[in-house]
Amino acid sequence: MMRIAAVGDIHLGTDSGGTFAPVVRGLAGRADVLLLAGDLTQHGLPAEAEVVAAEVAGAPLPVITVLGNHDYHSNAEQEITAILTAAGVTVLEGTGTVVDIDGARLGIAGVKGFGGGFAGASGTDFGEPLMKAFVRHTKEAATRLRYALEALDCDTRVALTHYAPIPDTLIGERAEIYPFLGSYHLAEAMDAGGAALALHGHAHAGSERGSTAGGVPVRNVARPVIGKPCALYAVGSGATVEGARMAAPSPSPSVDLAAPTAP
Amino acid sequence: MEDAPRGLRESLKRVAVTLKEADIPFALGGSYACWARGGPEPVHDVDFMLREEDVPRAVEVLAAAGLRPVDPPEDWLTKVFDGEVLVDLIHHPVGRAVTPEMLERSSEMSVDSVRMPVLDATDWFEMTLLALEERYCDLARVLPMIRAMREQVDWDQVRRSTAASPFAEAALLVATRLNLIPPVDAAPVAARPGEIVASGGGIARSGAARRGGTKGGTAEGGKTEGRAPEGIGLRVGKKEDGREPAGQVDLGGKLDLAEADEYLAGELHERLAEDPRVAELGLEVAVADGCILVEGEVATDDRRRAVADVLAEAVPGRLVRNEVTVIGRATAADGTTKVETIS
Repeated sequence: MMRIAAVGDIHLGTDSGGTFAPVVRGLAGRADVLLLAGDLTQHGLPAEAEVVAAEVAGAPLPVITVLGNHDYHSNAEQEITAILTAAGVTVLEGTGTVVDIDGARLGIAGVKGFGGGFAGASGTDFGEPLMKAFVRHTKEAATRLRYALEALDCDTRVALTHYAPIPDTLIGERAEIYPFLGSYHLAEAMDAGGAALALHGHAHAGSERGSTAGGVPVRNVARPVIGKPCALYAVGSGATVEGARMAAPSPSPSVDLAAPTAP
Repeated sequence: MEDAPRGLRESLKRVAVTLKEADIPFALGGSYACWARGGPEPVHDVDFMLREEDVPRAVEVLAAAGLRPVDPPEDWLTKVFDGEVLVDLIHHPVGRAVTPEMLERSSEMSVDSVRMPVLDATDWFEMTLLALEERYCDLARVLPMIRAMREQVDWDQVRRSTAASPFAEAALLVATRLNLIPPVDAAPVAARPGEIVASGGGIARSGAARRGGTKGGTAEGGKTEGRAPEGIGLRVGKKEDGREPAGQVDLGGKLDLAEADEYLAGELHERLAEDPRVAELGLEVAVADGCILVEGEVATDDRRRAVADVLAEAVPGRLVRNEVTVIGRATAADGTTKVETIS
């Protein structure tokens, strides 16, 4: 079994130094990899990313993250990515990475994702340019997640997003805001890409557990949802995922960050 | 069944004595706190309130004393069994963290000959009334409790802190009409800082959904501000502590105070999300009779103060009740975290 520690929405500010490092240190020997589901910072400031970097620097396990909407707030996502990468964090955006755990290969594909809503109550690529840009941003993110999952050469695939792929893990949030919390296109990508587990954050008042239509277990690991410093999951190394394809794992994939609106 | 209460009391005393000996701060809560204060004797379970950070140690000492811990799926309490008797250890009643201030407000009482802290009657009713919801709003259970404890309760405080709940409002209206509790003080709002009149007038709210009894989040109650009786109404316009705002932003300045409450609630909700000093998307804003109630959780005391600063700038002169609590995010990964196996 491969042990995954996961948490999202830690929202560190410049006043948060020293709060997350003990959590990371405490995972030594208890987890094989730490996945962060975005919203590492409060305002998306590079100074806050420096705090995050200091908290996870020297982590006793690989740290892999996607960014969240807060991390984009100050238009400094590139700089934040560079700061985190320099601290040894793998930042995913439409990309994947493979971690070797005692001979078993755990593949993680990640994307921030976006809103848009869920089947039957979703935005469509129609009408004003802004509306089209909104929906296209979601669809692009989902497509890139699917390709990133499919490209992983590994035994077990995990999808990591900030936004939610299903409404089940949003229960507790007001139904009216579901379209701002996630998109079913992400779930489609997870099903198509053969994920064994999907982790997301963003919905602080949501619920921890759900499943995609295709049966992929989904967990909302937003810090307020899990109610503890991080959640721990064990995934089987099981049979090699069928048709595991090409694509050599890239230890530090180049990050092509999604623009908030299409150019 | 006849023995149940006696068995419950024995377990209640065993848990209380064990926690006292371990110096773990707690208060008797739930229906036994009501019983200790004169209400009907419960026949189901025993509830203790304690801070979330103390729960692991409490479970440890209780297990050492022979009780059997179980880890329930709920994230607002944990449970231990004393034989057949279920004892709840509650750290987030109605989604609000148990704070040191709440435990300090409890009063030392003799409960079946054992002295122990019993939850303050005002706090008790705040929780009980806020727990009422669509599937659980039987006033036939609540009214005897109001009769039993009414003289021990600051009902204006209960009205203020439950103003956002229509179920609590209904219970308080019935109790008022039955002359069980004093009527709402009709003094104008301006003369009563913090008051949100519970009767009459709608309450417009905006923000994250309120989570029934199951609020997640690790609470480090130590940082949560207490509920000073008259410190609730923070007069906006003059800064809480005279500090300058951390960063000035041009967000359009003051809002139009003449507009409808529900638009104002919506705009304040957005303002709290957009202002970099706060940047919290999950805060809930309610506007009623000119007063502004803001609820939710933030990570630090500074951010809680920033909420007050932002509202003070947006709606100068309005009364604001800052019910935002501070949750600790620190705590190392504890050894008791369960691993879920995904198959």
